[in-house]
Amino acid sequence: MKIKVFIVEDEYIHLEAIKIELSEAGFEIAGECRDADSAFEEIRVASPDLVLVDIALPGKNNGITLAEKINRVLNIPHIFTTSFSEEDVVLEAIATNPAGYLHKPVDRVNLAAAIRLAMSHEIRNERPEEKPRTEP
Amino acid sequence: MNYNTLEKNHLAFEYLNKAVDMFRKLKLPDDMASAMSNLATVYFETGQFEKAISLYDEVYRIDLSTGNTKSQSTSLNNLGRMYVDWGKFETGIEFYKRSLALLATVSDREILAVRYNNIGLACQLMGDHGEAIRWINRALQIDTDAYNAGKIGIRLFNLATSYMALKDLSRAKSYLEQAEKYFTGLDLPSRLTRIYGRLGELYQMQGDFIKAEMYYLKTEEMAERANAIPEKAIAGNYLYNFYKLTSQPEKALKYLEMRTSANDSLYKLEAAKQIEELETRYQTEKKESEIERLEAENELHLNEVRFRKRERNLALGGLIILCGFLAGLNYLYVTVRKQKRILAGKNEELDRLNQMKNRLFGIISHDLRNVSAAYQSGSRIIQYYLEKGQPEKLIPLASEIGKNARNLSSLLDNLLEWAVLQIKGLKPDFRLVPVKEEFILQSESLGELCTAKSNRVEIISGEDLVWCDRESLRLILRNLLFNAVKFTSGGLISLKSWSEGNSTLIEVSDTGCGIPPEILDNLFEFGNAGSRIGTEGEKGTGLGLQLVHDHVSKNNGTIRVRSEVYKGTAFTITLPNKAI
Repeated sequence: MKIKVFIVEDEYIHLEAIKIELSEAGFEIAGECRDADSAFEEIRVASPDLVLVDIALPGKNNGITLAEKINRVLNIPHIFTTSFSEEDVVLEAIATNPAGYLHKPVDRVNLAAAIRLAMSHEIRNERPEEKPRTEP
Repeated sequence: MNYNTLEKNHLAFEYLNKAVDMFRKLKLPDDMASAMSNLATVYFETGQFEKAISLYDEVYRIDLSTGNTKSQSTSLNNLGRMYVDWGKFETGIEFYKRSLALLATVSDREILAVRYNNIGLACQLMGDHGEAIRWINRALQIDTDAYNAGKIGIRLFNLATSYMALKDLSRAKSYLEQAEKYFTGLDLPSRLTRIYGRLGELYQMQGDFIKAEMYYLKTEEMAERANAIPEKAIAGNYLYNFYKLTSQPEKALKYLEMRTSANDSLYKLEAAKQIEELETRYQTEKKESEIERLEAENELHLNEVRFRKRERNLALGGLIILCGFLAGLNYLYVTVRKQKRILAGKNEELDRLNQMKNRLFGIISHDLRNVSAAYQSGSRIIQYYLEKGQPEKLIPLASEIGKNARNLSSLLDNLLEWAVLQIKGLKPDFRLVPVKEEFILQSESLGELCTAKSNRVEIISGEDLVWCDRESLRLILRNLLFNAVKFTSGGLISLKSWSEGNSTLIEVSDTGCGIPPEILDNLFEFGNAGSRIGTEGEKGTGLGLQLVHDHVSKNNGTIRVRSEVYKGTAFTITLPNKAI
């Protein structure tokens, strides 16, 4: 079963490039959104396995506030795809507990490795199902 | 002075000293001079001539200062008396004569007679009997005129003494007999003792021993009547010598006893007097040593006062220096604190600017990297679709690449402008610039973009001029117009200008999406407003408005903005319309 990836990216060129790389690497695109404010609802509905999030996004929210909400409410892993490399931005991003942090332009090999690595961690961290209690 | 007459000299000395001090303090020079004069008399009577002279001299100086001629004369006379009794006759006579000279102006004849007599007696003591007779005769003349019987008797006796010394016994006898009459008339046995003694001597000199004995015996009689020891001694002496000379040992012995007895009494009196004198001297010395001690104490006290004064002055000086030092320290402290506050303020400002620059560089570096990444991504997309044989899918990409290029161009323009402004600072080249020309120029340069976004541009401007730097005005208009286009799609963009007094107002307005109120408040402060995406995803750094604000300020202008979300935004710039 293909891993479903949702993309939040406001710039057409980057969005198109990411979509091409994901398709070529064998991932399923669960959806895309170009602003931070409407992205959360779309992600909740699409229920992807992973979200790729840009940081500089139009709207009252930005990529970091969106990622924090995804992590806290939806518990879906996310990877940042951004052009920011300033330390304070990176530290702010890390605080949202991301599965990865990739600089644009993203190349296929790195993108695929990051997604697979994130997913393998996600599987290991999954809780075993609670056994039903036996009646006395 | 009564103590003096009672021969209680030490008491007289004590009280007179007090009197002198008291009058000195009360500043009564005449009374002080009198007390000093009396004190000098005590010294004189106790044989302390030098001290007496010193005091009389001081009295004379006081008399000089008060201008009392009579007192001056008295003081000079007293000084004369001191010197004569001290054995310095010539000096004494000198003073007597000076006293006399002063007295010539005084009409007190009796005193004048006394002065003449004094000079005469001094001459007598010197052995100059001719001169003595001359002076005493002058005194006698005055006393005779005044019919002062007692004084006449004394003058006659004195004259007789000198004539006897000159062996003019007849004159001497005549004077003595006249004197006898006066003293007899006045019943002065003590004086008569001396007269009879002198007459006995005279007759003895003439060899008339019977008369001589008679007068000598009269001396005894007078001495008994006077009941005075000195007179008894005189009488005893005359009679002893006479009987001794005339070889009458029994009588001589009798009068020797009389003389001895009287002399013993005199001796006792003298001894008592000497004891008094010694006591007076002791008191004087004690007083002097006391004065010396007091003077020393006074000097010590003065030194102490001087020392304390110096100490106080030093302390005061020290205090003043300390106060000055503290004031200086306080001034330094206040200055340093002020400087620290200024520095802290500047540091805060620097920190703020530094943070702002860090944010700016962060955004710029992001935007540049992002644009670069977009080109790389674009290249990958082109390659991908070409390999797939789907070139038609590249059409939207071409448009995106064009938009990206404009964003990059605008970013680089603003970045370079900002860099120049930061490095060189802005030195506007002021001139009068026609606004309309600049409106047309800028609208034309963005015409293609406007068309692409279906925006219409209108210019409403007359012949308005602005006093500014032409390049600054171009930068301002370019940025405001770019923003208007960026946030407007299918709307109207207006460029207007009009004059109000000395100013020209320029307005760039649009009917675009507007600016939310929370951004509007800090729109011109870089980093607070940040960058917003345009209606078709146009990006920016937020640097443009910062530059607009800086250039307007440097050109002596102001900028304000009004905006309503979904209705549009209007920036209004006010610039001078003539040279200032």
